[in-house]
Amino acid sequence: MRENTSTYKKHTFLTLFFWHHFLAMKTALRRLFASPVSAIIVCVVIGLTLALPTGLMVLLQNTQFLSGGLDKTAQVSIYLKLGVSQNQMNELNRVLHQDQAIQQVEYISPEQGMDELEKTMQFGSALKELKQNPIPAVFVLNVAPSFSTSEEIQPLVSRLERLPGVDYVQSDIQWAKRLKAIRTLLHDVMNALFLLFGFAVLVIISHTIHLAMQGYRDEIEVLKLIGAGTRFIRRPFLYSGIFYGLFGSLFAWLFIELLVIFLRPSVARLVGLYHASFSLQGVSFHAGLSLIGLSIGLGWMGSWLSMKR
Amino acid sequence: MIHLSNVTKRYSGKRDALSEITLHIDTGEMVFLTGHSGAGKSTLLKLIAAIEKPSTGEVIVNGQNIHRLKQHAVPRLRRQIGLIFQTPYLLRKQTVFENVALPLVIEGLRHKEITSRTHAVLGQVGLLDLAKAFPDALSCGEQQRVGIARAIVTKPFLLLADEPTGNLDPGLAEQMIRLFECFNQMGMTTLIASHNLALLRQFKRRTLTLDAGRLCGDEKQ
Ligand SMILES: Nc1ncnc2c1ncn2[C@@H]1O[C@H](COP(=O)(O)OP(=O)(O)O)[C@@H](O)[C@H]1O
Ligand SMILES: [Mg+2]
Repeated sequence: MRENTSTYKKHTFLTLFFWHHFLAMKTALRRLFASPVSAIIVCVVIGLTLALPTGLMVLLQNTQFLSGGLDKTAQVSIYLKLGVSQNQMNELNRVLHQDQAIQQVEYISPEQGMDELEKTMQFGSALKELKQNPIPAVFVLNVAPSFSTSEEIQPLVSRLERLPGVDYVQSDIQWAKRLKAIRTLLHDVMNALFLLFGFAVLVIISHTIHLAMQGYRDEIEVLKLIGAGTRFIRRPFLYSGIFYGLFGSLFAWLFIELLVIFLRPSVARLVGLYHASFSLQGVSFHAGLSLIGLSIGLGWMGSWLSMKR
Repeated sequence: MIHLSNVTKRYSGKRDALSEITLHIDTGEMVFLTGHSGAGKSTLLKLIAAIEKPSTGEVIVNGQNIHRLKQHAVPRLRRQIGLIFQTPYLLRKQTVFENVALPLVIEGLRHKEITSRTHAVLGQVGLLDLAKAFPDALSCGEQQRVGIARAIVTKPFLLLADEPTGNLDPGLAEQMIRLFECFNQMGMTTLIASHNLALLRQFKRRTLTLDAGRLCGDEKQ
């Protein structure tokens, strides 16, 4: 009696699983390289689509240091009324030094203020022509870290405003708050963009795979006739989707890096005007991996959707 | 092995492609199926290979009722049946070797086993030299033999051939049937459909004749 295939040396369940996945990967790559131009176009389109939200993410990461710096040590400036007497000044100084919420007090006299203004603005002697110094005396306070949150600092600000001789009080916590609000907004915009453009990527990949399946219809028929199961037939297409996602996200990463390199000099120049040094950062390794993961997920889902059609 | 009882198959048209077919084929038999074009030969083979389902009646292949076969069980049955068509439906982008090895890959054999088994079968059909060639570079007869090699590489219990000699000249056609006789001797039940009665007459085998969907002859010779 004839022998049957069951007498052959077969893979175990697990090795067969990996073997078939490896083959599917190979088939998927072979199909991509069979039409390299269209494959690259699809990947570039995916890359461009993902680059927009990714770019916003990078922008957010680059602004993190701003709010980060402001969160830690809040500064409060007290502008005094013009013509405050020396007595009042001493009294104020004493009160400020006693306040537990205040870590450090720096006094900037109107003359110092004028000097600094002249240095930065380069008006030259124009300011000296003024009869009276228009710059008020200022106390710059560093708030103790435990009082630096926006909730804690508000009572301090109103307390300071009520002191005699004080014109107005400015706390940079306001700026921190505004900046935070802006960043929250940008963060929401980024999430919305990721959702929107992620959906676009899903549609692109699903459509591409759908077309590919049309192109391989004959081959699929043959595979069915020789006993290939649904999974065996679908697996290469799933991997095609995964590869589109992978290469697409790598393109997105590349585009953003190029953009960052392109913008770095002009950003450095701009920041230099504010006497700060700052180098624009590209996609962080962690963010890049997340991007790739997300994109691969979208690719897998896209090809899966194309099969459900 | 194959058992059909009162099988009728109707596609969308008014006429039944097959009507009230009852027949039995034993394990190890070699049977010819003949009849005019449109008589229903292909349809009968498709029912046995679970490509189509009968409208009424029962088709039982190797103890399995085709009508009740679950969708996921079809590939398993197909792997136990060697299918051969008039055009061999090869994958053009894969080599002869890869085409023939494909059923074994699907079956999940080990790499070494696949290589030795595929080479053995290519030897049987006389195509060892062309293992690395692509199908487009082959003649009709060679392509047909690749298709046959792919069908028998898993050592199926049943071989179904639909007009396997349709594209071949008479000499090659006869050789082809002799090849099927070899496989049959190795233990594969074989059912060959062909409208070429003159060719089939040369081999003294059981011959089923279809006419307009009806079984009108079952001669044992
Ligand atoms: N897929 C199909 N859809 C509709 N009618 C079909 C289909 N396949 C075959 N037929 C019809 O069934 C009849 C038998 O066809 P077929 O089995 O191919 O005959 P044969 O192989 O003997 O030439 C023919 O009338 C044909 O037109
Ligand atoms: Mg036919």
